[in-house]
Amino acid sequence: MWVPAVICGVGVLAPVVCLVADAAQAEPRQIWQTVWRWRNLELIWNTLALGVAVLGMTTFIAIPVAWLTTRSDLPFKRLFTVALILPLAVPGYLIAYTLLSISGQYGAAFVLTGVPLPRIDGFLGAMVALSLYQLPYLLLNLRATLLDLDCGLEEIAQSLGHRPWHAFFTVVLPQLRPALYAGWLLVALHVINDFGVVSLMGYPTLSFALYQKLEVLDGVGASWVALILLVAAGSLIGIEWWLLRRLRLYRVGTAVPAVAGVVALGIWRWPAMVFLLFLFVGSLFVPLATICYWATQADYGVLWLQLQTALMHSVGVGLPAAVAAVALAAPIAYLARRYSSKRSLFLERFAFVGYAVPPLAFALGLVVATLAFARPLYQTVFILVYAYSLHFLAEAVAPLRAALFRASPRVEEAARSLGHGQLSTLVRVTLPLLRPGLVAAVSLVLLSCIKELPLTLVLAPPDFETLSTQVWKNTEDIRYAEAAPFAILILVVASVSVFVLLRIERSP
Amino acid sequence: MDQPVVQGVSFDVRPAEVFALVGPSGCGKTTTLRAIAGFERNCGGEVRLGDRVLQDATRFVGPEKRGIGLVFQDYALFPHLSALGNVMFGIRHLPRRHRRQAAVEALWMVGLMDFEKRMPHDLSGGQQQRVALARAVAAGPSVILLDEPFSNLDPDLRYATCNEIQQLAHRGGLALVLVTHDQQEALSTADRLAVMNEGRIIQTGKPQAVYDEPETAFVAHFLGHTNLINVKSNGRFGTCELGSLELNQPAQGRVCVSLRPEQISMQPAPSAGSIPVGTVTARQFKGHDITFRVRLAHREFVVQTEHEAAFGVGDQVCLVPRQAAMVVDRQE
Repeated sequence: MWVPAVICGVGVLAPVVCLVADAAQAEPRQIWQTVWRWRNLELIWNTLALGVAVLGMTTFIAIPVAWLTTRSDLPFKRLFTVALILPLAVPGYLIAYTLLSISGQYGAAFVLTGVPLPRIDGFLGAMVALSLYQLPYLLLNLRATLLDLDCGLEEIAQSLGHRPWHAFFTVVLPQLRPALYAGWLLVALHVINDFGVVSLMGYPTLSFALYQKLEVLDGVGASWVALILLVAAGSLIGIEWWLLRRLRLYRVGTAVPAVAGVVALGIWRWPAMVFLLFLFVGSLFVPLATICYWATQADYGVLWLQLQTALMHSVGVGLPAAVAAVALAAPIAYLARRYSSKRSLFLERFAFVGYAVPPLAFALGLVVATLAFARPLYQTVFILVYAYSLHFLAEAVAPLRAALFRASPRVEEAARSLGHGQLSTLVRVTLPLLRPGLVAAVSLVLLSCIKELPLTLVLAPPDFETLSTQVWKNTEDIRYAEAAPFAILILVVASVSVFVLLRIERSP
Repeated sequence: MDQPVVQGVSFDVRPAEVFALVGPSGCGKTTTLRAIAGFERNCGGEVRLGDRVLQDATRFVGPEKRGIGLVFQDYALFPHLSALGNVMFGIRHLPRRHRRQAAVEALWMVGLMDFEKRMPHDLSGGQQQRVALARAVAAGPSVILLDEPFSNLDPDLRYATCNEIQQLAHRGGLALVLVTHDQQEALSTADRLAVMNEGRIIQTGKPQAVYDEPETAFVAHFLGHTNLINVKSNGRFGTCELGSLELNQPAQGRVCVSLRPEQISMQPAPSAGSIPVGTVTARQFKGHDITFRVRLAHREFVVQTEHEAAFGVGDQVCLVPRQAAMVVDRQE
């Protein structure tokens, strides 16, 4: 039973070790020259600046939105919530595509009205695209906490003479800290690891530079940038772990939460509505309208074949990867339930490792490892399947765990006491109970694989185009119309994954 | 984990008998039950069913081959099967075409006609328990184990369940072992019971016998309320705060005795005399009886009287034992 966990650990860590070994092989002088360069400092600075900007922007939007959609008497709360969470499943490069394809001298705005919108790219473009893309992660975390926060505390603070605003800052906000930290970790990790947005926006961060070095076949340089990326991701997880560990000490036992009171907004409801409407239009309406416009401009003669091929490639690689990921995740989820919380947490961390390792660094490690040990596999779909399944393992664990949670071990024991052996119990009780979880896990991973960009770009065989690489390449070449049909297919995939996610969340 | 959870637990259950393992939570009752069912592999000792050795130093029969039914505390119904599907799941000893009929009959037996198609989540807690019971019975075991069968039920259902369990044993000839921390249910349901504490059986016997003649202070205290009194004894009599006491067995020196609240009668204090006098500190009216707390010589006694007793808080009373006090083992 431990074997899958070990496979995951080794599978993820081995390429990383190869990467380190490869980086260390270079001559000291060369290392010195690659690492201590003004350019590297600039890249780190750029990455940091983008991270801070995105964290700030998402936080300032997410806190009021989370509060408005949980605690106020704002009309259409449900609609706004769904609309603002939907971008969750939309890959960043697609958002970047819509921003780019609407602005500038080739943008939809100029083509349609003749008035050029200033081109949204560089730092500003990356920040806006990543913020829109990351907002749902923070929003979901905050909403979940706000919804089961003990409102009694807020009321007590008010009864002790604090004004409502003051009560929010002194009582509610501190309790949101765990949700904020967890959300910030995810957002920061995604910013560091992001490739799609920064590459299209032309904003040089660490991962973009890593890709550029790979393009010009600067192996040592790429390896060292990848190492810096790994250290950054590792320290982020370390910081979050430290913050949350300190917080947990202060947590009081779960109180029975008082029913959340609804705060009447009064005259403030109008600015609130305008704010949310603006967000809604910006994050959902404009992108959809832009994509639809460009889709009508495309010439489908050649595209039709390309679309079919890309779809076939995406599903053809994604499906085996999804099955492999679930096959690895099932024993992990099963063990996590069987063992004490400490050991199970450790196991689940294993599944998370593949997700946290920056995809470009992981891809580079895999390239180095296959060239060294498994040359025939280099640039084959096997490596892509391997990379996908380990990278998205964590996504398979969650639905499986939820399904297992509903099936108590007693149920299996009941089957045993009724005369069914271990195999019969597995087939007739455990698997039927797991089936919805298995289906959800396979579909989630499959959809994520289809949307995945950096691993696909680096590891796919030459001329192996998928839906995601087609969107990216066409956007890079400013062929917005040609990118649109692929983008629409990705959007369909994204909406299906949101649907699956909501189904998992709703199941008791 | 060096200390075994259960140690030196030994008892036998006969056909057509309800046997209760009763003790405070964490005393090892459930572990004992799981060992009988075959879910605790690494334990020493022996489990036998009739002439068949199910488990000893060399042999281990898996839970599926023991033929011992089990009803879990949370019922553990298969959530993906209907009530009928749940019951049919365990029927393997009959030819396929008879299974359905047998399952329907089992559901009838527990009073769940017309519930065959219901899924577990559409059933109330009491109904779920009945399905679990029907499922265990339909599999045709000679022994059924019940883990805390009363814990998730409201009082009316408790009474019905108690009846059902007794009928299953006495009419159906099954041996039933139930585990409970509720001494009231154990006393009223079981034909025999064993009181457990800290992984050991303290006393085994018929409910009335164990209640009337507890061997240790723990048993006296756990089964019903009692007053534990230190007595200076000399043969059949002893002296304590209440004055002179008759003992149920001769003893010498300092011993501990148990006098249950209903075994003490309360009388108005005489105006003069040498009998020790106490003060009523609390009066708790409970319908058919009244519980008094009486402060006497720096300690409190609990006394239970019929509901006419006309004493109030602050009254001076003296306490007279109605019967001989039980000498109990002070040590656990």
